Amino acid sequence: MCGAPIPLVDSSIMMDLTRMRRIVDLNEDSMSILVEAGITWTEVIEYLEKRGWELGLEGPWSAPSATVGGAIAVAAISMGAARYGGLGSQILGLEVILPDGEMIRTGAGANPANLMVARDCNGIDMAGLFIGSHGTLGVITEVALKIYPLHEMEDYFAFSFSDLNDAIEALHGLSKYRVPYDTRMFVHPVPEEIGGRAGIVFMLKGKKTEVLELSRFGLDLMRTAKGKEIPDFGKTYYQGRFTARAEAFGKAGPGWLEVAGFIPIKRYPEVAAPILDYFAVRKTEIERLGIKWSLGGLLETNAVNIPMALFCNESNSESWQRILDYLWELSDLMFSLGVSPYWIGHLNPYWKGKLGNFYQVYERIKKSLDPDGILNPGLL
Amino acid sequence: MKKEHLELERYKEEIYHCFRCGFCRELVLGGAYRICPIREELGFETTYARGRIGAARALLEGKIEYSDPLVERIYTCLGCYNCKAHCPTKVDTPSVVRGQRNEIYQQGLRKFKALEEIDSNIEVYKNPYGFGQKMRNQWAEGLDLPKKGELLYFPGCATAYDRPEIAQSLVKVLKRAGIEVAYLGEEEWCCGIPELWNGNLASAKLLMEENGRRFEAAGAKMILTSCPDCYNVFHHHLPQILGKQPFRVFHITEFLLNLLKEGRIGFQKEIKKRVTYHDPCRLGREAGIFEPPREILKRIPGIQLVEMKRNREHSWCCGGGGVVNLVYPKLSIKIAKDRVEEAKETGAEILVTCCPLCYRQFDNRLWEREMELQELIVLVAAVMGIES
Repeated sequence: MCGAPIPLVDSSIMMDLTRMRRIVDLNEDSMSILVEAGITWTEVIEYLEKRGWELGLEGPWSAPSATVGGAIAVAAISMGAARYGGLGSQILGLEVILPDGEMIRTGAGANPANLMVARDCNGIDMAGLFIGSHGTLGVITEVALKIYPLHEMEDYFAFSFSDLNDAIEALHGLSKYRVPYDTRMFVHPVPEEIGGRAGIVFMLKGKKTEVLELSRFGLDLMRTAKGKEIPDFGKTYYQGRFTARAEAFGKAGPGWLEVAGFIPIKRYPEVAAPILDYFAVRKTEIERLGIKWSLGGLLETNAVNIPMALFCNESNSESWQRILDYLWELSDLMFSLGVSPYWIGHLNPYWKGKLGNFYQVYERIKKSLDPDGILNPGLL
Repeated sequence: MKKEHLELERYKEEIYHCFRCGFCRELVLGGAYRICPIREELGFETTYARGRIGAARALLEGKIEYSDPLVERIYTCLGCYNCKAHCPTKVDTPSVVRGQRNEIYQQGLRKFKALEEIDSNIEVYKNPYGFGQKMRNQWAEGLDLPKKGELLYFPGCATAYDRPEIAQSLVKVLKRAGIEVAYLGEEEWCCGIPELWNGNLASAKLLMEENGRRFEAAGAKMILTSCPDCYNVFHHHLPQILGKQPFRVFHITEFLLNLLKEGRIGFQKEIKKRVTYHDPCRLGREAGIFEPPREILKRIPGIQLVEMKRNREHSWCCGGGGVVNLVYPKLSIKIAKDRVEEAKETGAEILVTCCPLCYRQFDNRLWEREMELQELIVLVAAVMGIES
């Protein structure tokens, strides 16, 4: 849902790959699928479903319109991250067009007779160079992804917590025992249907016996952590997962800015507290300007992503300018609390100076592959 | 210096409600749905809603100005409402496009000869074709329709001049039910829809207001339309101009379905054929009338109604809307051909629609269709045993 179709600098050309949308190969023996980068996530999912297979990760919230290549380019946190982690975990190889027009295939794909087998081949993990690179180093044109037998059952749960620390204990338990397929936490706002100080929703997916066992185990974990089960909400939330968030963001804003990054699960409360304080002291201004904000958590295997989103009606220039100010201040706050950002984009100038030699090395790689700076100019 | 965009300013809220999710490009959920026929043909960002809104915003913010290429893009919008139907925040892109076209017209930047002819014809003859008003009345000869009455039928230009059999069938069907409709005859003017879409908003308003006055003078309380465009003008646009809705407005499909339910009309014949129905964008997505035409078809003895892959709110446009048929006729027909191919895929023997513009897009006079085409009202009259 980042939807960044507008180039950062004037006189730029935007490349739209959505006509490169073929399923190139489905290889059930190697349990992999090769697709062109412009195909949407849900198109791949629906193609596989008819054949008894599925992807590990279902793509980002906007999977019905988000392309596979686009999501990989921004390392989008995807549905299923609690079980599988980042998008890179599902990628077997990439075909990439470099700025000089040269094409490379990463991993096993470097051998044309062995396209979709493994990513960690030939030494360096070349695919990793392009995952999350925001199109600065090359144009991803084909993607080989892992596939799995189609699940037999899904189940959904929602819990309310009167104390954030209890919710974090619950989240940690879910992570530690690898219970859910996907998990989300709400801190502000907590949906009315859930109520309390924090809410957790999670989704189970897999073989029927596995889901039944995990649901019993998950329920025990939640009850031990003093979670109160909220019937039906989890089902409603996850069954509408591909459209509900877009609708909610549209209603909240639709102007939207976000700073987000990873922290260890148990450190969540110490990051959340100053953020909550930050908004508490600005309550009057926030209400006057019609600004809304949300704070939550997305479980990605052993860590939690803490998305801090700000919303306002963008046509109100005062509100928009103010949430831009908030964004910088919150970036500063979150960085000082040890949050590691997972995107670049408009916050890049801020993070660059804070991350030691990370960006200097990145820029050296960029210079080597793209000496004229023609790909995604203005981003780095 | 940043130019003023007074018309676009009216749509500022709409424009800033787009948060660029791309659901107006495609939405794959329980089937692969492309959203914008023009984008599928031309492939550029500014040929579908997200880019159109992006360009409108850039105009408002003074980052760009109208240029020939931008004007050309703005006139590729069919106004099919598929983008709005699938937008999470319901951004009304077709209205924004109409606002842009109005600015383009006011600034003298519109350079399409076909649209200038429409303006001229409407100014002189009160219809877009440039035919005389006497000819508008020809379809009603011998039907003895009163000029005044509470229930007034407004066939509109496309029906009166191009598909008179629709109007004739409708009147005969209603007579069978014992219902008499009034008709303005030569007093009827174009509803204003071509002007609304070609950018001449002042002319569109004039036509709507004048028709409104004539309805009142005729003592009309209810307006019955067979053309979805005319329906939307009187149901939606006219009240916006007048600030009130003085008339109840019906599309004939709603009206006929009620007559069927009440048993006031019935079918004498049967049609043992597979039939598929094309939703006109204006009737379906814009007016929300999806089921009455289907309900009517299902009641016709022998008919097996089969749906196209894209139906109801997902329906694919005929390519004829938004004056694209006049400005880019080849592009327009290409989209119509795609739709008919989709109809053929159902195995249907008859393609039915209930819009004179859609009918024209699929008409053999324009291209070889190789599939039977029927207007719903004409079909209804035929199975009622009414001779055309």
